[in-house]
Amino acid sequence: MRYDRKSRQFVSYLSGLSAEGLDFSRDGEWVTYVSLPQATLWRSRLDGSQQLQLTDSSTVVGLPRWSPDGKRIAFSARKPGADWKIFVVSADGGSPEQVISGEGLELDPTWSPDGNFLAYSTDYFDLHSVVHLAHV
Amino acid sequence: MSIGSGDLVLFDFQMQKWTELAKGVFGYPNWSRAGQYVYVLDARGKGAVLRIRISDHKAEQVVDLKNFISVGSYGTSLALTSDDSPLLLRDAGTQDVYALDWEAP
Repeated sequence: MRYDRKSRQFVSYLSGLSAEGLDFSRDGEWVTYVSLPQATLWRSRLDGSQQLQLTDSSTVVGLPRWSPDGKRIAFSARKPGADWKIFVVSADGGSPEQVISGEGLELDPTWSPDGNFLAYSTDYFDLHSVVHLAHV
Repeated sequence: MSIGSGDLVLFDFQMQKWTELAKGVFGYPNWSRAGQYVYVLDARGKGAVLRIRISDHKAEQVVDLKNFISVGSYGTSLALTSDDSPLLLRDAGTQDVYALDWEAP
């Protein structure tokens, strides 16, 4: 639901798509999101066309982020029994690549303005998050 | 930052310095398109969307969520459209309880 400030009402958005973690490309033409309840990663144009599934059901995905040039999407993902890790996938599809190989939880990536770095956090669940910066 | 981690802070890469923007229990920070504000989910009380102006740290409530029934993998989450409109996922499901009669084979 989108909150419309003029009418002060929530209105349906993207045809009532069941999704969370929406992020929009810088040119405003594309959206990436995590479908619910499947928790898989998708991208499409804002009108819903050119919809493409970017991860399969073997992983749970959270908080995708477009790269500044709109060519890649960074996201957190977790396989059953494993920790959350940071991956990057081409916006045109393909195999997601794990880009950080540390130990433990790695979450919530976000791009630097030049697209050369990802900031992310670790050790989330003990509520003592540490922010890191990694070259990608 | 995510729910439970507390205050909203900003890191200035030029100054190599952290600055506190707001105290509270915030989650899902989102930059406004022009970079003047950070929108956050305020997890205190029944929830609200706030925006904090970077220039002077002024906090402003954008929408009260007391009547909004949200859903999500980890509770309420927040995103922003390209025109800085808050996006939230509403629980449109039902909580009805059904009784089924069946015959064992």
